[in-house]
Amino acid sequence: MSDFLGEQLRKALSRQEAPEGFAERVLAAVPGQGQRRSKLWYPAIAASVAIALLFGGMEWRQEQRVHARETERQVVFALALAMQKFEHVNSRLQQSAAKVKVDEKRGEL
Amino acid sequence: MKMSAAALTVGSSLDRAKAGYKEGFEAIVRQHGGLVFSIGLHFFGSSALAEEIAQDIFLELHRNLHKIESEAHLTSWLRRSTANRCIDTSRKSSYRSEVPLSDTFHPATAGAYSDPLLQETLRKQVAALPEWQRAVVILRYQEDLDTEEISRLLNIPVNTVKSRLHRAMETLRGRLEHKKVVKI
Repeated sequence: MSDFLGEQLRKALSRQEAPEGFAERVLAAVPGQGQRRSKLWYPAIAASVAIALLFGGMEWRQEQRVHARETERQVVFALALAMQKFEHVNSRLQQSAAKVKVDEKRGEL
Repeated sequence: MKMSAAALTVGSSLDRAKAGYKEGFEAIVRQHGGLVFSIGLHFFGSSALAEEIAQDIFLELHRNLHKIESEAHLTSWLRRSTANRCIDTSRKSSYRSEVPLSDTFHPATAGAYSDPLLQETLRKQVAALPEWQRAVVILRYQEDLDTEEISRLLNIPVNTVKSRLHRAMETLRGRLEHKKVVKI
């Protein structure tokens, strides 16, 4: 009769399906669970980074060139302005010198 | 020897899970969810507690995937971890199946019972057994393991498994006869 009880226990304790949505709830609770990148993607990622660095470097050099040109323009402008001022001061000095000579001549007379 | 398609799929799932792929782990949860959930369900007689324990077991599995060597190892790991977790939970929370004998009494007489009635009564009586007897009975009759396999799984001597199983069967037989559900 032990076999009868064993047989009934087998039926009573048969495996049950996990509740609906159980797998989803487990996966949601797994920390940092996500699609891992295949190693096949690594060369492509490395190439993308290299291209980005290359274009980034070129862009940086272009910006440096533009910046240098702007600086050069400002220096030329500053020199031209200084030259203009210098010429102005020079002409005033010459005028003053001429005036002093005229006054000296008048004083002599 | 050729592997069956199912074994190949499971093997692949384990490999993919170990490599960090979500769908590999998901396949393991779907394939073994019933095993883990059923041990908890039959141990406590509570679907909510069984699901809580099953979730914990799969999270623990995810942390220890690197230690799992094969599909057979995975199955035995799940059985051992779940049985031990059920015993620990039952002891720590002083949980006892709230199934007094009178609640499962049905005025059925031998020969006039229906199988579903007897099986429901058996499930309740199993959930009311002492923890170690419960674990042994569930592994024996749900998982269809022999006493040596249970001994290896729970790391206890074979004779201890036999005596616990014997006592559990005597208890179940006595309770069923006492309640006149059936004379066994």
